[in-house]
Amino acid sequence: MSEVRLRDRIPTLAAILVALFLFLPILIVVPMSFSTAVSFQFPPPGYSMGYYRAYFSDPTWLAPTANSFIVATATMVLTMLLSVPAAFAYVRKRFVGRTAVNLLIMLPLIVPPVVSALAFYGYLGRAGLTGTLPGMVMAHVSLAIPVSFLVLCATLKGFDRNLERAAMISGAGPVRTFFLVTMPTLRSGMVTASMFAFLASFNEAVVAIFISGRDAGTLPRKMFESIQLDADPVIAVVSTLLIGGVLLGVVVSSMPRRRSQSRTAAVSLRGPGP
Amino acid sequence: MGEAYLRLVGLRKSYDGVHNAVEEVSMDIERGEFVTFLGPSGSGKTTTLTMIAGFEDVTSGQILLDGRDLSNLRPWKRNIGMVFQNYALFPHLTVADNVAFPLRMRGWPKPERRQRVGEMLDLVGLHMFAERYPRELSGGQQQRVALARGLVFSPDVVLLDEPLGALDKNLREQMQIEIKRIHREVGITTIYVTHDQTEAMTMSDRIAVFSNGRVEQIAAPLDIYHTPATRHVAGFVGETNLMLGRVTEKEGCLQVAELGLIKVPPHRNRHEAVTEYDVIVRPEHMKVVRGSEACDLNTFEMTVETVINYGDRLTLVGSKGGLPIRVRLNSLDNLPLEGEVLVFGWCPKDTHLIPRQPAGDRSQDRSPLRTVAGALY
Repeated sequence: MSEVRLRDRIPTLAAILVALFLFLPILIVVPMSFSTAVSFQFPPPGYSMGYYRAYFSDPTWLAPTANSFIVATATMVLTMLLSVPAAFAYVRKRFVGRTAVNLLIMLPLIVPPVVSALAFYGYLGRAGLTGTLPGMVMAHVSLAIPVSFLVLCATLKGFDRNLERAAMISGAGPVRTFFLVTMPTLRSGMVTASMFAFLASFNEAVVAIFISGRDAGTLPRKMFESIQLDADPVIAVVSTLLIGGVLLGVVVSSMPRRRSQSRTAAVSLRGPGP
Repeated sequence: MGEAYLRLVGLRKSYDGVHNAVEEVSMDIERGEFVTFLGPSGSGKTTTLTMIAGFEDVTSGQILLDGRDLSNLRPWKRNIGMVFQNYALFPHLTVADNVAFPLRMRGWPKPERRQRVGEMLDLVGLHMFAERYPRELSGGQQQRVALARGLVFSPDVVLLDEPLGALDKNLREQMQIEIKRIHREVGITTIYVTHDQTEAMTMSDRIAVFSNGRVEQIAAPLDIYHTPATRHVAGFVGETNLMLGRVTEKEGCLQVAELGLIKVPPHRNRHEAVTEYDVIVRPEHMKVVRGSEACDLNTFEMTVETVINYGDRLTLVGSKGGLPIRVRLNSLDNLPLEGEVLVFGWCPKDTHLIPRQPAGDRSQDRSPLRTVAGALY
């Protein structure tokens, strides 16, 4: 009897181990962010909030943080404006060159980031856009589109078109059908796609290092520079804040709520829906 | 006037310009009538329904509703209700909001909307589920919501596209009764698409049997059953014994290869040119002949190969000269055994004859006799 129980628990145990394997190395930055040491040291010799104070008062950290949020938000909006119509066209229409278009959209995902970075460096440099926020947004949009396009296509393929027919026969024209039925039904997929687009930009380091320059430097670039120069434990603070932000986001979006939409949104974050 | 309420005039639909999904469909439907489109998949019944709804353009022909032509009206302008096989309820709206949707689109004020939705939910017996979401309901309940949504705005016509296809057998029967009751109460013109002959028989005022993009016959269920217009209709509605009968010199008799000479009733529209008939005898008209009552019956001797016991009735399956024959027995007395040789017979008046098209038209189906009968067997 107990043997059977033990065998039943092996998958759970394995899952916990894998989770720890993935999570522990990341978690190590948390104690280090509260450290009193002048550089990375584990375990920390003492604890203080000093580096948090440093982060929140140092403009060389705050400016890249602001840049990151600006670039990521703009990237998210632009990406959605471009990839939503693209996904609709790709999933619903049959046209010449459909497969080629799909391949082209997926290209930024296949090309090594360094190659893309180099290409952007040459291309945007000629246009005088290196070191500017619009230049960063352009580069990040092209990297984010394939990610959100993939998510949107998967969502759209699972969409039951009879819902739109039902709306139309109920008296809704194409516009009202789209905004009252199609969009709300696809909401969870849209939210996921936007989030991926945001993160594709927010987490991106290679292109940022190549083209963002001093003025448009983003957080990942600043962190990379910082660890090369002085191994400043402020990086640990930034990392901890990022981990905290992501965890908060996931917890909030998985919280069961009365409204059905938020529930389906949470489901789609955890895995494919029904 | 005297014109029918909904008229389909020479409807044709081709998706590729070469093949016709619907060849030619014409029919008149009266106000308040319950008409079923019955046919196998690919017979054009759903395409016809889709054209009435307006989701597909009409390649040629007209759809006239109360005298006005619908062909160029978009679906949202047609004032037609529809119920889909997979329900197609809006997942982000509650049951009440789903039912209210068509009223919202028509700009009904909120209080009237709420009252009307309440009435509809009462009609389908779901008033206590108003605030639930569709996924919290069972299949049958979801279908009722879809029905309420299709009827709430008092459409001119309601279309039901295999609405019970996804339900299990018991629920299906229950919903048949339910839909029939609602149709009686609301009195709305209804078109019901199904491939289930039982559904068609039990619910319809008239059945239109579809085949290869055409309507083979449109008539009341019992007329379809007793006097099918084609052997395809006979084969699709109910069980059938189908034979080929040739005209002989003997008046009132036909020659059937497997059974010999049979007596047939005088055929109303006997035509000189017709030399062959499809002879149809329903299994329930066949009986076991014991003793000497055989004088007026067409009789034959057959070995019982299979006995199918349904509990309240029996079906005996055998074959005579390669022709499969089914006999339905409603009495379980004298239970026949498999392997037993019995004399069977049927009354000549229970024979239904369909004239065969003159030769030349028949090249495409060599042996329809065997194929249809074989499919049934």
